[in-house]
Formats: sequence, C-alpha cells, structure tokens
Amino acid sequence: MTERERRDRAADKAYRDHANDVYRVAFGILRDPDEALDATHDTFARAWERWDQYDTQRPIQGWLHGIVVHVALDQLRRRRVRRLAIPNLGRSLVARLDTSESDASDDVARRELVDRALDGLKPAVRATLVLRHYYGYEYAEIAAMLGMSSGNVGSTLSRAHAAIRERLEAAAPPVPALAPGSATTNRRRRLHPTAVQEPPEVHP
Amino acid sequence: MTRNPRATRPASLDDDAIGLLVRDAADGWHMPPVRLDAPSWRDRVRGRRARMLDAARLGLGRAGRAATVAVALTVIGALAAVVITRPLQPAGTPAASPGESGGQSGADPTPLPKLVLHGDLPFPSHVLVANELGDIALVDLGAGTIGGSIARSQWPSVMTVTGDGLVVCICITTAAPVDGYPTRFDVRMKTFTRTTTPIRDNPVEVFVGAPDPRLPATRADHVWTSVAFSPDDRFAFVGWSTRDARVWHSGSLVVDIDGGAVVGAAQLPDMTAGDGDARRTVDAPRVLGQAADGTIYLARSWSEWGSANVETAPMRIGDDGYTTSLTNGALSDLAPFSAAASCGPSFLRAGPRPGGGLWVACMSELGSLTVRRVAIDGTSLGSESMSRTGFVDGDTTAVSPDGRTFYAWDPGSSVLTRIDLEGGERVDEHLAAPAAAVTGDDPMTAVGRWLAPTMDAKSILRGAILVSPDGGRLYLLATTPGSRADAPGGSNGILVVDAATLRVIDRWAPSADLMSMALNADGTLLYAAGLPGVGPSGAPLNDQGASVTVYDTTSGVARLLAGDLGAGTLNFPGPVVP
Repeated sequence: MTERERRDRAADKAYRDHANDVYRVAFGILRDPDEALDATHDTFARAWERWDQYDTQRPIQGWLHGIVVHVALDQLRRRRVRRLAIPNLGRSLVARLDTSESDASDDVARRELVDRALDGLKPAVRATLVLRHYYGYEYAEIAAMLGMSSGNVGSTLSRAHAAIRERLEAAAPPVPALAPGSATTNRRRRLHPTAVQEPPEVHP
Repeated sequence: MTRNPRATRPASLDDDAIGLLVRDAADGWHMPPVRLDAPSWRDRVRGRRARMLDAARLGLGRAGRAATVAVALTVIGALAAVVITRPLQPAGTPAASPGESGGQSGADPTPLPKLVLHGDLPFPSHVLVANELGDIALVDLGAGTIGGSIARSQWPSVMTVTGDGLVVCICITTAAPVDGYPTRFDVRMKTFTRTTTPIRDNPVEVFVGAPDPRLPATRADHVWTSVAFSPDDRFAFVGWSTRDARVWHSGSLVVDIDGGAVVGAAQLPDMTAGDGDARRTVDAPRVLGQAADGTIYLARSWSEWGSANVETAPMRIGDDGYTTSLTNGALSDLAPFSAAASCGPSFLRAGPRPGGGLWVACMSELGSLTVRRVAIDGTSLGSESMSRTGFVDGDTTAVSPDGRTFYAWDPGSSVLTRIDLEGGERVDEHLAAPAAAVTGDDPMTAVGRWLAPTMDAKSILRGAILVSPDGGRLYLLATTPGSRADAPGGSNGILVVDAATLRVIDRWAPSADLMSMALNADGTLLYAAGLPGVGPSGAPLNDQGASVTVYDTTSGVARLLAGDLGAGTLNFPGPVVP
C-alpha cells in the first residue's frame, strides 16, 4: 500500500467516524447548514493535505476540531456574516413563546430558545460553548484551537453564560417577579441590549 | 405533555444548567445528507492543489516581463469591460444605491480585476497593512501585490508601523505552563524595515507569575500583557499583570523605540487574587488615551468568580482607571480616576476634557456605549448613552483632531452621534444615504457600479469612522442589513459627512465589501480595504481576493483598485495609512 493509499484510507475512516462532530462545531460557528457542510468538507480536505502533521498519539477528533474552528472562522471572516438582530431578539423569543403553546413540544421550544440565544453571540463564543459543553475540552485545549489565552476561555464562557441567561430571562420573565432595586434587576437593566439606561453617576 | 410556554424556561439557570441547555441544543445539530453530485472533500483536495499550481505559475510570471504584459492586459481588459458593460447614463445623474430598486439589478458580481489605475499612481503606493495573522504585510499598489508577514510573530505579540514606515513588534513568547497556563512571558522589541529586513532585537522584560496555591487550581492565566504605542512613535507602553500566589501585581513599562531600552515604569496598586473562596484574574493595564500634554489614561480590568472554577457564578467584573504623565519617557505617579468617572464595567477610551478634567467612554457587556464628562474636581458633569446595533468587533468612535468633539457611529441603525466634550451638547443624526453620485465619465466610477449589483446586505468593520485632518469631514463605513436576521449583508459604501451639520454630502459606491479605512497624511486620499471571498453585497464570491481601493477625497473618484491581494483579510492598523 502506498503512502497516499494509507492516507486515503485513514482520511476516509476519519470522515466516516467524525464528520458529524466536525459539522456540529462548524454549525455552532456558522449557524448555516450549507456553510457548515462546506466547512466540513474543507476541513477534511485540509486534514488530508496535512496528514503528516497529525500526532497519532492524540485523539483525531481534537485535531479535526482544531482545523474546523479555523476553517469556519476564516470562512466567516471572508463572508463577514454579521448578525444585526440583537435588538429584535427579545421580541422574537417572546413571540416564539407565545406561539409554542399550540404547535411545539417543550423540548423543541427549549432548543429553539437556546438556539436563538446562541445566535446573538459572537461566533468564537459559540465555538467555545460547544467545545466546552458538548465535547468537554479543557480550557487549554480550547485556547489552543481558538488562538486565545486560557484565561480568556474561562471569562468568555462566564460572559456567554451571563448573556444566555439574560436572553432566556428576557424571553420569559422569572416568576416571581424580581423586586425593584434588587441586584439582579439592576444587572438586567445594565445588560439588556434594547434598553440603554443612564448609568448611575457617583457624586463623592 | 406540558404545553405551558412558561415551562420552556428552566427553573434554575445556573451555569451547569446553561451548559446542559447548550449541550442539548448542539445535540440537535446533525450533518444533512450530502448530495452525490456535490463536491466532496476529496474533490476539494484536488481543487486546492490545482489552485496552488495556478498560484505558483502566477508567482513565477510576476518575476518576468510576461507578468508586466499580463497586468497591462488585465487593466486594459477591465477598462474595456467597463466601457462595454457600462450603462448609458448622462454624467452627473445619480445611480441607484445598493438596497434600492433600479440599481444594477440582475447582474452577478464578478471578481475584481487585479489592478485598475485611473490617473497617476496614488502616494503612498506602498502601504503596510495588518493581515489575518495579526502581523504586518506590505502591499505594492503599483503592482497589485501583497507580501508575506514581516515579523512572523504570534499571540500575544503586538505590532505597529511608525510614521516613517518602521515595523515595530513587541514580540512575546510564552513559556513554563502550569496546568496548561503559561507562567512566563519573555518580551522583546523587534524592528524591521517595510521590506522585512530585521533592524534590531532588544530584550524588554521577563514577566513571571506564580499560581495560586489554593486547591483546586484556578483555571486562568498567571501573566497578562497589553501593548500600546505613543502617537509620535517614540515610545511603546507595555502593561503587565502577574499573579503572585494570592496577590496580583500590575504595572506599565515605557520602551524607547529608537534605543530599545526601558526608560520608564509605573506600578499600580496590588489586587487580591480573590478573598475567601473567590478567585480573581487581573488584566494588564491598557492605554485608553493620550493627551498632547503627555497625560496618559490607563485602565485595568478584573474579573472575579465565586470559586476556583471560573465558570461558577456569580461573576463580577470591573475596571479601575488612572492618569499619569509622560515626560521624556518617565512616568509620574499614578492618580486614580474619581469614582464619578466609572460609567460602565469596561472603559473604552478616555481623554482630556476641553476646559479641564477628563472624559471617558465605557461599554456595557452587551455593547451600549456611555460617554461621561468629569470636571477637574472629579465630579461628574453628565453622561450620554447610546445603543449599539449588532456586534461590531472594532471601535466605531472617533475624536476630532482638536479634541473637542466625540463621534460615535452605529452602522446597524445608521445613527451618527456627536457629543461636545466640553458642554455636553449631543446631536443624533439618522443618516439617510443618498444615491451614489456619478461624478463623471471616469471608468473607475463605472467599475464600482459594474461590480456592485443590487442586493440586500450587511456587514463590517474595523476602522469604521475617520475624521479628516482639518476636522471638517467624517468618513463612515456603511452597511446594509440582510433580508434575514442571519443572512450575510455587505457594504453600503462610504458615507462622507459634513462634521458641522452631520449631513451626508456624498456616498461612494463600494467596490468590495469594505471593512477598513485609513487616510493618507494630508487627507487627500482614502484607502479602503475589501474582504476576500465576497462581493460588495456580502454574497459569496469565492474567487474574490482581498482588495484595496483608493478614493480621491476631493472628487470621490476611485483612483486605484487592487483586487487580488490574497485570500486572507487585511486591514489598516491605524487611521493614517503607513
């Protein structure tokens, strides 16, 4: 068997075993099925080209995820997908809740809510969430994939959680209602994207 | 089955619950069936190799006379195509702008030509740009080519280009990781000519952090740096924070760019690494702004979590701000901002307020912007807050050359805000972009129309607002939202705004999906960088390379268009093209 045949065979097996895992991360970043599929194929093409760089002592899934993150973010930079829907997010979610009663199960509705909340995050933040929560990578591994510091991974996750929490709360106000002036109420006012509040001025 | 919509919201939204929700949502993301007739990854391997061969042939050709002939033929071909395809329209009549019906509808965008020149070669014709790797590369607009990375550095290195074209890198190498987090940053200053020749390599400092001894280990960095440069290119500021077990130390160094030596330093107050079970990380001090009298405005961010795991809520964040004064490289003692200056969790910019005191601009976590003016006695003189529409991964604010006026541009809503930094007077103007003017019979204007068919779109931005050197004009990168919330948009060209009236006085049609702008030193030329892989509308255009278009700011005519500058994004590192 020639080197090329060995590479072909290994890449074929990697595609069979991991294409969906590669696609999931691509979709988390790109949020478009066609573009995610495109990025998935590009990832395996790049992997084939760089097969001699793969360290066989390490899981191939992590290596492929490292490639797809770059492929998808690069694709995004070139196509410059920008989401300008944040101010509408709260209304959209509420609308979804209003209509979900009659035509969707709770599971589907919940996924849609979370999906919409994820839509409002930056692509690299979504990648961080999926790599951490779905695949369980360590911060250092995610940092290496995304080209950021490990500390930034932690703070990115914390801020992403806060943003998702805000958006889900905006979709369905907590019960019981927050007491006026409570810390949470103030935080929601400060973070809510559609309601720009005058920050408190401190007079010494 | 419960169908109460309220029940779709989990009862407890702690971080674990959110992690489960994300996992649950991602579990539903499955790869769709692949069509047998669609190109698979194998086909892409072959295609990529073929493109590499094409690139190699092109590279060889550039070296010889054949390339010169090819470039000339490209230019002639493009101009001929423009003339042939240009719609018959009297000079001076407005063309429809993108987003309006009746424009160049029906035409598919085509990749930009390699090089189109109208009149003399603009100066400067060799410009330095930041490339996708964060490095600096040289663009030869006379040949329509881009060079490779000059410093070949990696995160967290920072580079700039001085006014005389020197590339300066504060190059940082990380080492000695503990649990995957580096504890040592080796900082050096390297300088290069614009043709990549190394000039100098000086050691600056070695920063060493010590992990928090508490268990479990804190999963966060132990060393941070932040780099900025003085407007006169004389000094580099290296902010640093190091964890020393339960304490964070922070400071700022001043590096003389000419000599490569550390000439000044300032120490910030220590911060705790977290009291009780809390864990805190403290970022390096960063420069918010610099005044002509040598005053420097610094800020330092910190984040704190309830326990070792940085995912554990509640998280608190904050900034502390300081002023210092730079005299021949030496820094004076730091003076903290007054409490009244804290207008949000993250400082964005700061500067001297006309009439005394200072102003600060702050960002909320979700992007709203607040500008607060502070009197010389530290009391607040009032704030102005502005909503932001969508994510913009760049600064969309600017200050007039005389330091008296603050501008904020929100491309998502097309609202331009002007704030008088002395008196606080605020004006908001919703900019209705006029149709792009056809300024004459020049073929470059027609190239813009030819290549920019009507499509709804969005997008941008880095370097989204520029102020002319005389302060009389603003240049804004404009975008058009897509038809769907998640659809890619594109460029709506460059808006030229009268700074006195905030009225749009011209709009220059986009030659590409523009993402970055810079002016030449006297403000007579505007350089705009376009994204690769997309057309002006933001629609995919795979053969399109990154581009640079040079506009004459007097007439609005495009003087030069270099349309094949590689597959990576590029942008201008500052408001003045180096």
